[in-house]
Amino acid sequence: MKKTVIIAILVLLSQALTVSAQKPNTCISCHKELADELQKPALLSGDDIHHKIGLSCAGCHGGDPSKEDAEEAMSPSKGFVGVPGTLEIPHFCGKCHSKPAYMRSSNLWLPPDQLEKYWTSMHGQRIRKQDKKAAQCVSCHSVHDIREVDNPQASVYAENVPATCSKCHADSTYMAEYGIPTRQMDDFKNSVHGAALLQKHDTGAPACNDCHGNHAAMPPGVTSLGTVCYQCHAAEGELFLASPHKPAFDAMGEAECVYCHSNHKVLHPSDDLVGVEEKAICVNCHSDGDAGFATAKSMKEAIVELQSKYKASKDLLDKAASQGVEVSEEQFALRGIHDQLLQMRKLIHAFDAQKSAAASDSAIKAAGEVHAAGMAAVKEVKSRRYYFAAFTLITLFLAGVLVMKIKSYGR
Amino acid sequence: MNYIMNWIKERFQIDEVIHFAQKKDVPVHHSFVWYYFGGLTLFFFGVQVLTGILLLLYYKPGADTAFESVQFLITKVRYGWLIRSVHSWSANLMIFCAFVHLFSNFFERAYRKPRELTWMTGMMLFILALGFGFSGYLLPWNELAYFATKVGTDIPGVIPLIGKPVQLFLRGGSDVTGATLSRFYGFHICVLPLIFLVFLALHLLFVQVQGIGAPLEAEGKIKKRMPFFPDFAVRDVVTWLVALNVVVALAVFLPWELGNKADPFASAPAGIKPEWYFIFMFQSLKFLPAKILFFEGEFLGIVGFGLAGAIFVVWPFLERKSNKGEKQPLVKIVGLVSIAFIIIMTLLGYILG
Amino acid sequence: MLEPNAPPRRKFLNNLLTAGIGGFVLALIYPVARYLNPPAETAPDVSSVIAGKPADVPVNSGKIFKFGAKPGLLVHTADGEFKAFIAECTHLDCTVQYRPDMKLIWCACHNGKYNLNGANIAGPPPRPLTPLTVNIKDDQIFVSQSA
Repeated sequence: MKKTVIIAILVLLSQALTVSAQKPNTCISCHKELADELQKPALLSGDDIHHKIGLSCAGCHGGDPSKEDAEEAMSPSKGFVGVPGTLEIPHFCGKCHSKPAYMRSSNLWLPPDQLEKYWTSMHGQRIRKQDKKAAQCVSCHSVHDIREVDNPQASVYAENVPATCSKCHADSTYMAEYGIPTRQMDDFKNSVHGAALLQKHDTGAPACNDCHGNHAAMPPGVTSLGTVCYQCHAAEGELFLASPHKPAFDAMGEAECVYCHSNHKVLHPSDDLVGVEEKAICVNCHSDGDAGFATAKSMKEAIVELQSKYKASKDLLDKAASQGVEVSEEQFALRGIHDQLLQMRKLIHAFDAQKSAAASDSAIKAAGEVHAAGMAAVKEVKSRRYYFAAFTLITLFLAGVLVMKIKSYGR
Repeated sequence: MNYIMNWIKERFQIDEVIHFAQKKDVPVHHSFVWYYFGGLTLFFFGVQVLTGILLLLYYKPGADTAFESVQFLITKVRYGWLIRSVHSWSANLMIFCAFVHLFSNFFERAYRKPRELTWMTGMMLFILALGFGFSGYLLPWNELAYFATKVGTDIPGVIPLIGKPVQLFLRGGSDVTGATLSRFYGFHICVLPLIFLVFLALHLLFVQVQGIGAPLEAEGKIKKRMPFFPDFAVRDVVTWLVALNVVVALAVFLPWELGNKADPFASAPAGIKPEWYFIFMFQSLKFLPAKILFFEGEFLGIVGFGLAGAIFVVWPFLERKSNKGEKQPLVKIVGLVSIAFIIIMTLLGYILG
Repeated sequence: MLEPNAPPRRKFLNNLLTAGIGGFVLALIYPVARYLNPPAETAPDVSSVIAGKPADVPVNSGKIFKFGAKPGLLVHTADGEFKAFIAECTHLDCTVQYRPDMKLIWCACHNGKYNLNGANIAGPPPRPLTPLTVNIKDDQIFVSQSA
């Protein structure tokens, strides 16, 4: 019942709004005849979401779109406010977007909290300090051709977000006075997240806003980095929060996750990251004799062992398969071993030697079974050769006797 | 043994048959070794029938079940791997021996009067054997077979007028689907075997009735004739034993792969090729330009091969000099050019493919 | 051909021949006979796989089984229903699992979540899991391709 009422209201409203959109719009018709900056808004408006829902020029700028005469159309008495200054833009958009009652009538599902969040962000704080260079609504959403977030052509569509943020954040001249690096986009493009989002078009992968927030954009706090990464990497996050590293990192003020994995240039982690060898990260803090060193060593050894057993089984099965033994069931079991290998790599984040050892023991046992299956497959190859040898002997014997028979005919 | 013979003699008039068998002989000359290849082709066909019957006890035709039934057969059924690999290898060896048998008889001009019909039934058997190979190849419903069949049945489509209906008939639809598989299965285990047996019966009958021929050069100079039973028959059996051993060796050391199940929605893997005995046609069609005059290149290629096949079938009526016992160098030329063409095109097909 | 009063050498050769033929025939018959004997496990109709016995899967738990070339997930829900899906996550193909604590299907790789109808409800997965049909007969769970 409630749903029907809401839909009915929306239908009626959209009718009303479209009716108003069908009235003549002198803003557009006049500005189309002008040039350059004054012409642009009229040309772009076709793609604009506000224009589509019937909220045309006058809806934001005021004035009277029915009047032919420019002075009458753009008269302050009709509410004309002209072009807002850069620092006024958040207020300008907030005129509607921060009013829950108004937003409910036009888009029930669009939250009206963007402005509130914006003021807490770095960008909002800079705008309040009269810094015109800081990003405001238009910097990211564009103006006059604003598209919905799920429109692939929108500047704020997931795949386009990195490019939008980079407009400022990758420009070292523009960002010089703020003292923050501008290589984030380069790093991100070369990361697994960047490759997934930008090359494989996987919108499940994070863009800038997924970690930094949209309107409340801030670099995540060093000790709450976890909350950002854990949105997706929940398994690792859960383990880390319960691990001895959490209090340790907090006390040192070291960045969770980022310390080992980097922030923008997150690469596919290799087993070299963990352990006690030179390339491993563990030895940055741990040295021979402390508990952490021993844990790192045993975790690495367990993984290396499982990895080598996995590889050995895989080689065996591949060899048997290439020699004609059908091993699809065994290869399925091998997939299970691979899953356990993934699990053990996740378990590293618990930094708990006992947990890792327990997981490793069961995994290695399973790997042993797969290995045995692989050996059986190779044995099958051998048994076929024995059969062949026996068959050949019998055949050659018979052929030999027949040849003797031929000779005995003496012809 | 004697007891059984007497028992039969008391009931059936087999004196003439026995007399015929005792009389049957084989001329001995320098090209004697080629005589084995007809029997070898027949032997491999026998292997195909036996292993084929065994396979169809476990094979389940149908796009949902074919691949899995073959997988089950070669892993879980005892010696299933052997029966299947023997069947696949023996098919290839049969066609190879058929090629040798065809060309050896061609060069020896065995097709000359009175053996024209023996030659023509033989050519029909050869074409049917290729049909067996093509239809059987699809039955495991794996990736390679699916795409090879797709490409193979694409080719007749370029023939104007009859091309599309022929393609529809072969495929059981406009694409290669489970319907194609059902059709090919029916062709492979019933239609082709029946037609093959008719031509085989005729071919063997003609050979028995007319006796085994000798090469033109040796005619009139035959010094020795070997009795078929038991002398030649035992030699035949020895070659068959060796052939069987070879095919089992191939099954054990170079087992036939199964690969992945056919996925009509996946793109074709690289290097799709038909079986080796089709490669020379496949490769030469690839070399033809897209358009020759106002004909499609492929169409001319098919016409070319059709003509070549037809020429070979009616060759006894085209090349008459041999009937008079005269030399005919054209035979050597045509034969050697054909063999060279086939070998070179096949090699190129593998090197470039 | 085989005369009863043949000289000894010929008789010996004939005996060898009999032995040879006999051995050869056995070498042929043996594999064929074993082949004709059907194996213990019946070939399943592949669109249908036996995932186990109901007793193997207690209430509010899940089990991974082999479905053709892919892993399958059999779930015995808290409500007592049996459900099955192809266990490959629609994001990056990791093997999903049943989480009894969340009563959801979960992917450990990037925290993707699916409800018990297989619909993707949280995280990166872009599509629902492929559902399978479950039939229980004679104390066996048959899982087959959904139409």
